[in-house]
Amino acid sequence: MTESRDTERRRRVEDVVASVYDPLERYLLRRTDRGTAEDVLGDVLLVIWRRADDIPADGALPWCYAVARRCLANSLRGAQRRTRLFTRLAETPPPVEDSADPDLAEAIAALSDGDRELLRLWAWEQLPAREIAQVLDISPNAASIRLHRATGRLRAQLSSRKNRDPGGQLQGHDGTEASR
Amino acid sequence: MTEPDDELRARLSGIDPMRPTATPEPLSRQRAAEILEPTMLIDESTPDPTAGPRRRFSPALLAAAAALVIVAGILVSLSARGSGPAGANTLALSAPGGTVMSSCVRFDVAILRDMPVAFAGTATAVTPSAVTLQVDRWYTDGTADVVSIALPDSHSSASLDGVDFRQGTRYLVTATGGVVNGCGFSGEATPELEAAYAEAFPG
Repeated sequence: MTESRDTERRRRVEDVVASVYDPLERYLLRRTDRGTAEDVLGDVLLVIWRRADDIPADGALPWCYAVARRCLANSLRGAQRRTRLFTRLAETPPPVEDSADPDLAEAIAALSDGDRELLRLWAWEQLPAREIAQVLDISPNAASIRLHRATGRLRAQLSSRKNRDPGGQLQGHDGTEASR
Repeated sequence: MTEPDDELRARLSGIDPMRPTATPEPLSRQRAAEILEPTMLIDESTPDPTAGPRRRFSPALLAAAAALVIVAGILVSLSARGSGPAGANTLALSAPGGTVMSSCVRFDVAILRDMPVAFAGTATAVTPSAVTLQVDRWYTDGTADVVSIALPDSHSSASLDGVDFRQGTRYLVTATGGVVNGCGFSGEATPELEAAYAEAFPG
């Protein structure tokens, strides 16, 4: 009886891990260095195992992202402490593939942390607003509004960069792309 | 003029360091079991003089352990109420040390109801070694205005199941035996958790 319940629980956790492990690893690698990502992933697995009974059957991934978000924040705070105590460790700015689209990388960098995270969850994790809400512990309505505002601010940043650089290599005098 | 959402999203995907963003295939169960194996070893290596190193957790054992913790917590709480342990107006608690290894009981309002220490408070200071909370509501009959939660050196990011204390954020916290509970029984004051606390501690 007990053995079968343990086995059942373990199989349930294995199923969750099978579906969330890769997305979780990618989530963490998008936000920190590999060593920290591995450490935090281990912590998240432990929480998944400990709280297996609380994982929603129809929303395991956003639930796990939320755990990863909090564990990562905790871990980075710990890293800051070690940095202060010993020597400055390699800082881990969120990695961005900026060579592909420098304007966008710049525009993103000009946003607040909150806007950036919303946009990452939306575009990189490809989450709908209701799942972004689960990850950030906010209401779905608030997630929709914040996402709308964040995309608006990103567009404003992009637009201001476009206007600032009318003579750019890919742009004609009127700001349109030269190839068109 | 304005990029449609789909185009903006696609453009953002272009600077995703984890490109391509195609949804990966789920792992096999075998691979998942291998990944989980170190976690299982941590779990099963919980020091326990009455059990072997490969101890498994039964629901009955967990229930008994939870009951013991709750009873111990009640005793500590009763003794703590008489005299504030860290000053007249401050209650001192601690976060679990090291890696918390045992499995959680399922979050349940009935268990929450029996917690000897439960309050709502806003983090006014977060340092690597302690969190200070200004209490705005006691769900149990505590009186402290301020609660200090010591974070042990061995505090792991998983030890409260990922509760992330940030200055200015409001939290709902329970503790037993002077130690803050993880397992979903403490956390940021989301509407869901607040509703559970309100149900567990009516009036």
